[in-house]
Amino acid sequence: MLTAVDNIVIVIAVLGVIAIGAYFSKSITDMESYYLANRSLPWSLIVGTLMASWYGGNGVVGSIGYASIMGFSTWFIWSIGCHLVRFPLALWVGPRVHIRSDVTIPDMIESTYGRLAALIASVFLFIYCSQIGEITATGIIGQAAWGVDKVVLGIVVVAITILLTCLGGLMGVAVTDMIFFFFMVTGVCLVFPVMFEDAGGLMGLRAVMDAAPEFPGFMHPTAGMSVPKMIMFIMLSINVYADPTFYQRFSASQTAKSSRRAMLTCFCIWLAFDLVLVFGGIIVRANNLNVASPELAYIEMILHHLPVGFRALFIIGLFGAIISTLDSYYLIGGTTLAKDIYARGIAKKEIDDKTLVRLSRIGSVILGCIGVALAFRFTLVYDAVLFLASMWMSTAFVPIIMALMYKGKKTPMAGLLSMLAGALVFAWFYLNPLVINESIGAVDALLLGVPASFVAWIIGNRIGEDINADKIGIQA
Amino acid sequence: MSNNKQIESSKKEDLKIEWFGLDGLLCLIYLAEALLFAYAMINNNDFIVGKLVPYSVAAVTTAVFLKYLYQVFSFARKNGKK
Repeated sequence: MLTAVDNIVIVIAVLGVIAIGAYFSKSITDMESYYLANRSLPWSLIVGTLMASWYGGNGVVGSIGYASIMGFSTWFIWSIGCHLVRFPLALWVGPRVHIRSDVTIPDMIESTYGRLAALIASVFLFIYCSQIGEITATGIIGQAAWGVDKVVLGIVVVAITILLTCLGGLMGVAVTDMIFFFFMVTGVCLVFPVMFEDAGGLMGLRAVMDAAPEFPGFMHPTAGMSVPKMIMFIMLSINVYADPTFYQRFSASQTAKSSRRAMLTCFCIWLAFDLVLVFGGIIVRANNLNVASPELAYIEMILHHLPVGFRALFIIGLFGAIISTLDSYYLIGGTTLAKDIYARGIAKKEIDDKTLVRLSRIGSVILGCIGVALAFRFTLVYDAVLFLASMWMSTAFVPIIMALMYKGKKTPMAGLLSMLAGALVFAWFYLNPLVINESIGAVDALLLGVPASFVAWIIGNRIGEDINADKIGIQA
Repeated sequence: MSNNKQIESSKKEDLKIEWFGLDGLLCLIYLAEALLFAYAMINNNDFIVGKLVPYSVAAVTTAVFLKYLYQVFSFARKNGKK
């Protein structure tokens, strides 16, 4: 539990971060400066903001949870494999996003497949941006730090997030993300050697886990995970190819080169930081084989090892991980509601930049209110939103990748059919899971939705004309 | 027309991956890291897992953070002069 000194440090740090957001609000003059920081983010800020958005509350505590069940294979399969699958995003896809003039993903979809496809994508994207799982993650951290009610804490975290998003736009988000991320990574990494030594190092961990028959293959590179599960994990890691925060960062970077190098740098840091988190989960399991909540036990263990004051910085970092993920999505969701849904679908006219920025801020507030309202109550609605949010990937992955990477003819029907097939196949197998055998379990609906979407894209592309036929020469 | 060509060629230049430059080096670092950490985990090397990895991550993050601070202050100074 935190002391009064820790709490004072937390209040000062939060006020400082809000002041930074307020400072950057002065530089917002139009939509491009609000949403893309005038496409001027240098390499270091792209690295910081990508890393911070990546490790949300779910990312950090989720990795601990996985590692406490699957052991070494979490790093060998999940970490190495998944980052490798994402290399094409850094090397080829990301730089192509940067050189396009579109501001948002629906802009890109409209310019390739037309207005209707863009509107459908916008609705799914807005729901995806609610990220309610992140708000529920505040409960675990709040319980370890203060033992307070998760709803109150959720409201406070969302309020700070909305303030940061509305004040500073992407520049404010990028700058504050970096501060949060620095606190979290240094807190976790500096305390890790002590925890590792206390656990007896690798030999000590092996001695405990190899003697535990309920965790077979826990300390083996691959034995903790079945082969089909490995394939499923790696294939699911393509989700970042349709993640709007990555697209926004690529667009906002100074050059295509800096976006590529920032992401490649992130892979190198993520691989090492993943190792630290995975060992955190392994140590928690070795300390207590029957631990009920490894995530909670991990945070309590770190708080126990850190001195007063530093504990506060670690908690700021952990909450920062949640805030930095949420603010990135609120910024995108707010803009999607204002620019892509209201301006494109309802007002059906050009709206001046000042109004768009104002509407985007209102959109972020709406998204935050929806998140808080759903995160801890209304189980049925929560499940429905979670279901719709997970449909985004299977709906948008193929149309986005083809729009960016395929240089030939692309028709509006290709976009519409692939979205429809992706959404329907995903929904069907989500509600009626396909179980191949007991060892594999149910096949993730995404793995069936994406191929269906691709087949539908090919069929749809044979129908109709390319709306950009006359611009093919200058397409990216 | 020539302006369009210039934009096109600068776009192409930006998209080119420097396999023998920084891009290639970062890919190699990833592979080297994966091999080194895997070796350390399989062969019970406590120094690499318990010291080298966490301190290196903390050091690299601090370096990125310091670079960020420098850039933010330069940005603030530039704005102040306007």
